[in-house]
Amino acid sequence: MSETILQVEDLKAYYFTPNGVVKAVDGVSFSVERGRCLAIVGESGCGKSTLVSSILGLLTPPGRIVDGKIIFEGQDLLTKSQVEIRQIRGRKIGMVFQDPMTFLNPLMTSGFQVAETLIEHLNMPLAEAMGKSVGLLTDVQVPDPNRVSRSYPHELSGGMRQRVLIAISLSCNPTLLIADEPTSALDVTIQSQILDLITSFKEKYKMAIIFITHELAIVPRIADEVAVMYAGKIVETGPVAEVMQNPLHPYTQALKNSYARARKQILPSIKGSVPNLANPPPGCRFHPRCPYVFKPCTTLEPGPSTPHPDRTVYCHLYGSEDVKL
Amino acid sequence: MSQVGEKLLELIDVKKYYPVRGGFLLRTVGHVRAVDGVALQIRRGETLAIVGESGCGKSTLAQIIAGLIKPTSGKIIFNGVEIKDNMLHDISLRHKIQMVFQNPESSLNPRMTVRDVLAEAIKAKYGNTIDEDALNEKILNLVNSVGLTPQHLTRYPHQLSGGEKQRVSIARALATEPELIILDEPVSALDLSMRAQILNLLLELQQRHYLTYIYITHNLEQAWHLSDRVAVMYLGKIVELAPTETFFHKPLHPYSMVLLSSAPLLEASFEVQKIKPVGEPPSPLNPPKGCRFHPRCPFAFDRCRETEPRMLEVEEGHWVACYLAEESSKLHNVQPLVK
Repeated sequence: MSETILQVEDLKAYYFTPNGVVKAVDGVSFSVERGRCLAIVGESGCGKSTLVSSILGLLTPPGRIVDGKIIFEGQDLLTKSQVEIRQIRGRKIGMVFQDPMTFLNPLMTSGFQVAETLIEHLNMPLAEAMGKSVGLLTDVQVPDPNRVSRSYPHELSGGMRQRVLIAISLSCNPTLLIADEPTSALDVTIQSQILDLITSFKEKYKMAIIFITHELAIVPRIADEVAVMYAGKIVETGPVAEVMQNPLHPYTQALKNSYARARKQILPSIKGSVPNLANPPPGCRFHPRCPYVFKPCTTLEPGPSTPHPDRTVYCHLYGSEDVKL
Repeated sequence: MSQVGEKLLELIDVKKYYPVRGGFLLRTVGHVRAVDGVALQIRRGETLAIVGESGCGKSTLAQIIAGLIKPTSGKIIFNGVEIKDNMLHDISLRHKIQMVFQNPESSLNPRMTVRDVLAEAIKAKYGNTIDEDALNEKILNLVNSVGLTPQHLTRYPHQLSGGEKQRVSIARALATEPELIILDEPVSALDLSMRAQILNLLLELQQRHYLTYIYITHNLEQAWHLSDRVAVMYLGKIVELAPTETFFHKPLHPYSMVLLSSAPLLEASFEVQKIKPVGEPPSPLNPPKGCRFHPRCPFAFDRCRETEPRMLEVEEGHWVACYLAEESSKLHNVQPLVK
């Protein structure tokens, strides 16, 4: 049971701005299998959202995909026309975003917005679609689904809106769900409920999930694999338990260490700030902030090395093959 | 750990109701009870974390203490002096209580350089007549103490990163030499790597200047890291107040347990009874009868639905408003907090 749903190969998405080329996603490769959840973790400006837009075919100028492949169920999405992508997006690939209010139409009832997807993609008659939308709202554990389906988004709480958005994204039984910071705007108790809900759907429908987040601490709650992004590149991938237990890349280590552990102690912090992607540092992009920096880091970009099976890290400390010490 | 001294601030039954108007003549049809009877004591040199979900009234409480809004009723005693309505005009008191806001974008004037921002705050304390050399020296001291360089002084907020902006906000709060700083989610808008730097700065400043902090947050990790005591707020009321170690290892209120079980904590060593959260917080416009948490509480029984539990001290310094805790511990020394 290891059917690859999405495979991204050496994806490069750049923004061509008057101030130079911003390499927001620069050679990113990963894959997600059916029934698995991949968390992509990174700080703001690391290219997570550009990556999502690229996969969904939503990248708009000045952004452009320069190179790479996005293979979804055996077909390269980058060779498809906008019309063909529209048939996949929403039907085979579901999406949930951070701020549900900007993705729900304030002038339509939430029930109709769920039904709209069914009508558009499955040519379902309106009455049947409205009936099914109540069922979908029940599935996402909305209290009193009949009332919610007649409510407008402003009448619902943030957690309810996020549930409606999840109902929309699940309406056509997608094989891949992309969740871009779906719980960042929610309170912890609601966040916990939404994470449980997404996990239950992963198991029930055997979906593949890409979960984008900046919060390393919620990764063990939801994901099976994790990829850590820094300045447009993936720096480390592996199974969640192993990466969290024993992070290899100095950036992952620093992220983990910046969570408070001992009380009233000075936290080990990462010096400096995230580099400007229009002019990233040469060599390893993390080297100006890395405590272990040594000679090759400043000039040579680290290649992948696999110190453990299943795990990949892009760091000279683990002796990538192209460096001779 | 910092030593903790005498009582600095005391809140007695502080309430803030916002009227809700409706109907044809816009009569008052109800009240949002944002803060509904909060009693607290804060000692000099300690950090009190106030945790709770959005809408629980924690930011309203912070603004009441900072004198930005007037409470509907209740007393606030700072340094032994009751703060009356004229707090808003009593400049010397305002110097002693400062606030750092969550979003540095909106709390710094985009048309003022870092130097202007700090000079304004210093002049507020020392008057416009302060001579140029003394002013410059104070400004330099401030930027150094928050880890900025003199090069930052000529910059405008849009030329600074989020972390640098928050450092400027902290420097501005320090400019009037305060005794109490209210930190309202000071690192929530920052990236993970910046967060640690700012938390370190706050710890360092507290030790250097013997500051008292009220740290408002929804993040339990930060409460664990910084605070000496934790107060949990739910729908305008404090439901549990305990020393930080006790709170994380032996919370008594079911809502505290829910918060601890749903919070993403990397350190999973807290052996807390796991309670799955159900439902959402009800509207503060029409809070449930009895204990406000009872509709979401897995342990609720008849008494919880009828009458509201009072805050009781179940152990030295550990206060909780819950009938369960009251019954189970069969307390030896029960005293109501609010008479």
